[in-house]
Amino acid sequence: MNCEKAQRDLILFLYDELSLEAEELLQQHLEDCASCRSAMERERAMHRLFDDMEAEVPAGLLVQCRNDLRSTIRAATPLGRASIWRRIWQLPAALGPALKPLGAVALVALGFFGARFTEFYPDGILTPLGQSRAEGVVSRVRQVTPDPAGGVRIVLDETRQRVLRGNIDDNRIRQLLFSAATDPANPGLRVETMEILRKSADAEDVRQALLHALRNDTNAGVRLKAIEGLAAFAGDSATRKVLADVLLTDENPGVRTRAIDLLIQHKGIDTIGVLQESMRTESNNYIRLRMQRALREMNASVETF
Amino acid sequence: MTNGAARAVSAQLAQPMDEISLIQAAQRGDQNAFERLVRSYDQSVLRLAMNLLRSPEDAYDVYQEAFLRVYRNLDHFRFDCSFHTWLYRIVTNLCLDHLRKRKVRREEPTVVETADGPVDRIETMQEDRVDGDPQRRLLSRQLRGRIEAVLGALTPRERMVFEMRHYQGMRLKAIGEVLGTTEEAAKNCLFRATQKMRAALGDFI
Repeated sequence: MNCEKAQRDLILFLYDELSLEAEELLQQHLEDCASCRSAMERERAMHRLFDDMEAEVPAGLLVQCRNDLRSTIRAATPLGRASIWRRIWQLPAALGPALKPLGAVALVALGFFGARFTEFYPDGILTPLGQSRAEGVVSRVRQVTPDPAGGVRIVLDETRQRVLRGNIDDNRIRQLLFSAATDPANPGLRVETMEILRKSADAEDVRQALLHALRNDTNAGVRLKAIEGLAAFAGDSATRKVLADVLLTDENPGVRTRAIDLLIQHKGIDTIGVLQESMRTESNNYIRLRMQRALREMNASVETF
Repeated sequence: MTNGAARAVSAQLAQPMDEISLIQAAQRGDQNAFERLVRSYDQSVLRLAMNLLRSPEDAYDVYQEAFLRVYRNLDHFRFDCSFHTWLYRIVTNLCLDHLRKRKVRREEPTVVETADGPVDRIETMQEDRVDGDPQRRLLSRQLRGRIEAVLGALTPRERMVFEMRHYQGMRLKAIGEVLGTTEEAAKNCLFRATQKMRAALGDFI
């Protein structure tokens, strides 16, 4: 190995990017070459100089970045939903010219079945002529055309209501409850569903539904019901992870307070870490006091925040 | 299996399982999963931007824009490279844009006019790890100024490779992937950067 090659390789050596064979050759060369050994020392000194020049991220910048990003994203279109609709809208184009008619038929069919099977909003619900709500039929106007006789012709989509009774242990009932628990149009229904589900939180799938609601539901009342259902599982690691996330990110002080109550049931280093991290961003004085008190009870350092 | 499909499978296998689940959940619209994904990377993204741009305002802009782009385009992410590589491509492109814009409008002068008269910003830089010896303080100030100048004199690409290797500890192969080039090209960039810095700092080392 000559000095030119050695001095090129020692840059890679210091960055741990040299193969074992090349490293071996370099070491042999360095043993015999004082000039390259001194070059190596200069290179090391330069590394140290640059280590000292690393820019420091100003205190609070990361938190500000996170908070502002969260606000921007919450104000934006929900992730995933827009893209699904965009893809459906682009379906005929994506199918190519030969299959465009098929794509158009698919869109019409999607509209028809979508209207039949998706939820009905209060404004669109009608009681059909000659029938009362008590008969359990809700309708939606599909088409309105003038009638040759001078009247009007109305086409209705009708959905018949059914009453099901059963125990939550029945899988069909349970699946319907899970569906109700995520019905985006009806927060009241979700609250009532959580109230029922929380009594069966021993079951893994029910607990998952409660965790999902606690993390994702947009309604604080639903999240509070969900967190109540999880109270008996505050020692479970999956639950604790969600509780920690909730404490750090949930916008409702009541939910965050309840998360603290459950987290501190099991005192440990992970709880201390979560509370200390939360202290950096928490703006609610009552919650800050609760966390400070909990940290003191756990003999955790107050100075770290 | 096509090359693209094989690449996608091997990239997927190379990612930790938790991360794949998080990405998939975020693609389905789970904002909590997206936030956890952000938190896995955002400290190093901010550190990279801060190191490269040396300005909290610019680092803030890069952070916001990078993660918003990720958010808007996550449903197009097909696991044909690692998420880390994809994210860093976005971040490095944004940083390169900033650096190139600065090159065009030239670096700001170190002497600025203030209400109290002209002030040299290098004179007012914070002194770390320097004792009270005026000669050492002067040396440290000169050195800092020289290092800032040499970093500013690197091409944006050389600067990027150096920052990712020296401060982020990324392998040259990964740097090549992020910058859309080969490991060899990244290596050559690192050599050029090192030679320039050695030449500029020769009397200090």
